[in-house]
Amino acid sequence: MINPKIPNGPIENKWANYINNSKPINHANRSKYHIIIVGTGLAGASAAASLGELGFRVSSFCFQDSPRRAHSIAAQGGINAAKNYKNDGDSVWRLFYDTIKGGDFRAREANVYRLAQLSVKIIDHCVAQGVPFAREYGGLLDNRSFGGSLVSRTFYAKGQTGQQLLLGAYSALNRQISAGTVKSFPRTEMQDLIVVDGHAKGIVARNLITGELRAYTADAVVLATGGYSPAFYLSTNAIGCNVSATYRAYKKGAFFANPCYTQIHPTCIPQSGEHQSKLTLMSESLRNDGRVWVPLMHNDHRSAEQIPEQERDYYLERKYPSYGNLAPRDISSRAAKQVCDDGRGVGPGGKGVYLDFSNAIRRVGKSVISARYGNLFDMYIKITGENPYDKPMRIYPAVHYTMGGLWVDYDLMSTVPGLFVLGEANFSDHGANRLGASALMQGLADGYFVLPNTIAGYLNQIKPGLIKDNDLRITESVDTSREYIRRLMMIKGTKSPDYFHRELGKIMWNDCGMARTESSLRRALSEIPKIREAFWKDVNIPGSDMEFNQTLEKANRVADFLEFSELLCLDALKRNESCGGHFREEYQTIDGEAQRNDEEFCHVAAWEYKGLGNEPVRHQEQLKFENIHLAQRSYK
Amino acid sequence: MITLIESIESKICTLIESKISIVGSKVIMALTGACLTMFILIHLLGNMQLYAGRDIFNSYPELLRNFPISLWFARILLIFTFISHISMAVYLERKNKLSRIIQYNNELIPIGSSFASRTMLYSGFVIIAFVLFHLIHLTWKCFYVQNPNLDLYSLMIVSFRNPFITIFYILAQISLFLHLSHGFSSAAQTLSLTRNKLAKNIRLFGFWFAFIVTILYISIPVSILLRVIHD
Amino acid sequence: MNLRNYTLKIWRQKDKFSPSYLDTIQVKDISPDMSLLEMLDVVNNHLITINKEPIAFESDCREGICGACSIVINGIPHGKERGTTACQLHMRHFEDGETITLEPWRAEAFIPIKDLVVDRTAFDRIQQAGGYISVNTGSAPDAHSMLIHKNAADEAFDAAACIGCGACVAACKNASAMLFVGAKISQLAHLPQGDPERKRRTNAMVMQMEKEGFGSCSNTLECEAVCPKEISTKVIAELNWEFIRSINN
Repeated sequence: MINPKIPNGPIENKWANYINNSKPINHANRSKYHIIIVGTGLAGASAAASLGELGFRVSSFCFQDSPRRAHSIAAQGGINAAKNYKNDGDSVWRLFYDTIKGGDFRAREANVYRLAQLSVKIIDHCVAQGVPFAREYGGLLDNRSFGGSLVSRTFYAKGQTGQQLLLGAYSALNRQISAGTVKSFPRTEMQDLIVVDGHAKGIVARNLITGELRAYTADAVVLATGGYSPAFYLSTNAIGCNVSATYRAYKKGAFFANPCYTQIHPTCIPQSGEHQSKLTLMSESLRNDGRVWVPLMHNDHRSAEQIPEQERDYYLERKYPSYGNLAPRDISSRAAKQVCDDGRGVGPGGKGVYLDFSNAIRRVGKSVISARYGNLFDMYIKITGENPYDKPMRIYPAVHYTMGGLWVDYDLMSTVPGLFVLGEANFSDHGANRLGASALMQGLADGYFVLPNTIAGYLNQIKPGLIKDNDLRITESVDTSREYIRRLMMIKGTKSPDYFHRELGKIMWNDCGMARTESSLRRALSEIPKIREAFWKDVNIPGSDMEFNQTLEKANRVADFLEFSELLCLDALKRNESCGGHFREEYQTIDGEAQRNDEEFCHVAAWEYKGLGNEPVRHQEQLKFENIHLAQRSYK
Repeated sequence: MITLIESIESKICTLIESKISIVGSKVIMALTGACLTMFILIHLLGNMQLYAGRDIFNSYPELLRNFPISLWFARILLIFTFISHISMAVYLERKNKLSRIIQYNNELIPIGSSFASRTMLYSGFVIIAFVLFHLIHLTWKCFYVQNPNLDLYSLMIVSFRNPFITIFYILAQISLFLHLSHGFSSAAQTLSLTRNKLAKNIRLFGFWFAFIVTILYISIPVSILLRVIHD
Repeated sequence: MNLRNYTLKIWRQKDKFSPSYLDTIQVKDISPDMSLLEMLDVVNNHLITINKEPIAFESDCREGICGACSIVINGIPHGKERGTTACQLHMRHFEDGETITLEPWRAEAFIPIKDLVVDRTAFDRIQQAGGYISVNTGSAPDAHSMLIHKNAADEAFDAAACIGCGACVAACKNASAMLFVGAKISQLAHLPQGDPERKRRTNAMVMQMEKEGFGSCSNTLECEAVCPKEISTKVIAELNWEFIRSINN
């Protein structure tokens, strides 16, 4: 059993008690502590800015050319906050409850409650930063409703909320860079975590322009490096998103929790062919006004407008009358898969369902719909060449977010002391399924409010600046990384890294995707090592490692996916239940819903690395539900 | 001597860079441009008197000479704005050339800019050449030193009966049209008068303003050549 | 499916010290549903299998929001489709057999890194100079303590939609960054939160822009035409206004 170090007291007071009992670092001493933050998304940028403001010495790393390009920028829909500005009965408790329930009772109560409490302050802070949220004519902030919730608590900036929030965090980061508290290292990718005497003491990073490898030492390391969706090759994540930072930390002793919890987003643009490099998400907010349907008849090849109303199956409204088209993501995704497997899918290959706006356009007018979703519609037109104002969109689920991540305690510290993990990279708040508009909330809560209050607890225990760059143990880490890259460069095979990545993706999507079975997972577990072996024999990286080399960057990341995917499948295999985004076909109710097994699996699975080829050890953190009664999730 | 000029020049450049920057430089361009446009309008009013006949037209320069102090003040101001406008243009052009030393292999294909906006420098050069010629031709009357008693009205008639001079004037006016049509809206943009929804209207107005001014200017030599205006 | 063939002419450059040249590559069997970048993926995968250096180009989100992709396509940054980034430009917009020229952004402030990749950290430095509102985490009042006119919020949003790709610079005959800088200044100038720092911010950002070596604005409006987010040159007028206001600072 691993200990999450949850503070005592009633859930409402845990965070306040924690802060009251914590001991901040003396202001004069803060600049003695050097903190490395990897990743500049919502969590990383907000953490770097906030720690900089407090007076710590911060180094911020990202592999992109600018901190502003982190993939948080692509989040569309919005950010939840329990402001109850709409007077529709929202509260911190309700947001807490919705998140726990949405996560299918696999999240840690204390963390989620803290998240709900902090959600309120996030909005205040972002508004003060100049984030242009949508407003009503009275000058107040507007809200909309979002999947998995009965109240309107989602704040948004058209369909570009993630962009606006990230630019807000980026501007706060810039302010600190300009003030000299934060040093920025763009185009510098983490290669390895440096662990000295069991504590995280820095990273080895590669300058992507010159290829130079060097160690950066620090008193604490923060990973805010996002999720691992591209393990499936096709996902809505950016091309550069990768598991390398968290996976290499895992190899250095950080436990990886619940890797099998992956979220499939129901509203993405269907794949058009083999060449496809990524899938594009259409914000879930579309489901506020769009109605999802497929033809009632099998293999119906008529175009949408030729199918009369009575021959359409609005299956979400039929199956989940109270939530209807707003059913949570995992439920809507699986429902789409079911109707497509049933032979009623639309579009090329029958892999798609309709999302129809004709009703909404008739009801509120084209201009209102255009104001709400204009940019999403434009995006759809660009990609597909079809106009959703005239004919229904075609959508299909795609991998979108990963709830699993490095295990962290209440302080957001991993099992390696001094290594903190924020945002999507950790596992803590979303359980087995994340509700819409919650990822932005979590990333910012972790970065702005949680870490700045919890990191002192660790820093108080250590002496700053103990490790020097020329320490033998540090130079050894650099040599190990150099040797690893040299091995990759030396393979000189015949295939591109993309080839192996795509092969991996096919296995993952087919055998470990929306629905998993024991046999499919066993198949995947036997196939993945073969691809990995082929990769290490036959990948080719032209050019040298001492220059800008995108093939090397890619190969470096694919190599980690090829190891990590095995862990993902193994976790899925060992979790003999269905919950949220993890759906095992063997474990379902009569009407096809996820069947949890609270007796045996009401816990977090945290995996400990034991060397390549050895099965990792599965640790457990028991989840205690003291405030919410465990129940079968129902959205009917 | 050359090094002295260079050092003064570099001092001025540093001063401009630190105090007014490229944005401020453009504001100066816009303000001086606006002054020059005013001059063009006043000058046009003077020219239009040609249609009122010899006496009225000839009395116009006389009238101006009756106020020598104001006249010289206006002249100096005009020369100053003219030179400022040109020097700022040269200064900015040199800076702009430095901002992209290595050019594209394929030239950029314009999709949003007007021909006039891309050729401001060239239309500006033609205007400078024209102004010099115009001064030599009609102010200092260098071509007509043999008959110093020629009045301005007759001088106009004699000049523009010459098709070469007329054509040169027309070409110069077309350059003025290009320069003004972009310059007007560009100055409005630089002086931030286009912050509201009027932006498009100002652009349109600038075009028609330049067009009408140019047509009126061109009408004079053409009228003389076609003998609408006669001696 | 009607697959298509193209001739690519691509700017190649090993690094900033090396000379550049135009490489000609023939590509076959391209689906019209591919994006331009996916077509380049296909080319690169082939180049890797024959052990040749793939074409370096930048991309990340591939859905038109991160601003990483940066290619001048046939003389137009991001290509001829309006309001579209290179990653969202699909091959259906190119004729079969067409010659497609691909070049990087060119400006002295954007230093070449490799092939189609350039260094755009100049943009970051401009933002660092003043593109923010000084508010420390935790010090904000309730979000509803300040009413903001809907129009002001909308205008701020329109300006804030800038993705920082640099197409405006690439398209400008002067390599001017006024649209980029104007977008940030306009966003913050429209909001009451941005008011206290407006003069300092404008001055600092403009001075940094000049220091980075971007040219001046000739108001040709080319930037607005290529901007994938269709940001209006109104933001430049607003930048000018803020600059004029800040003179007596």
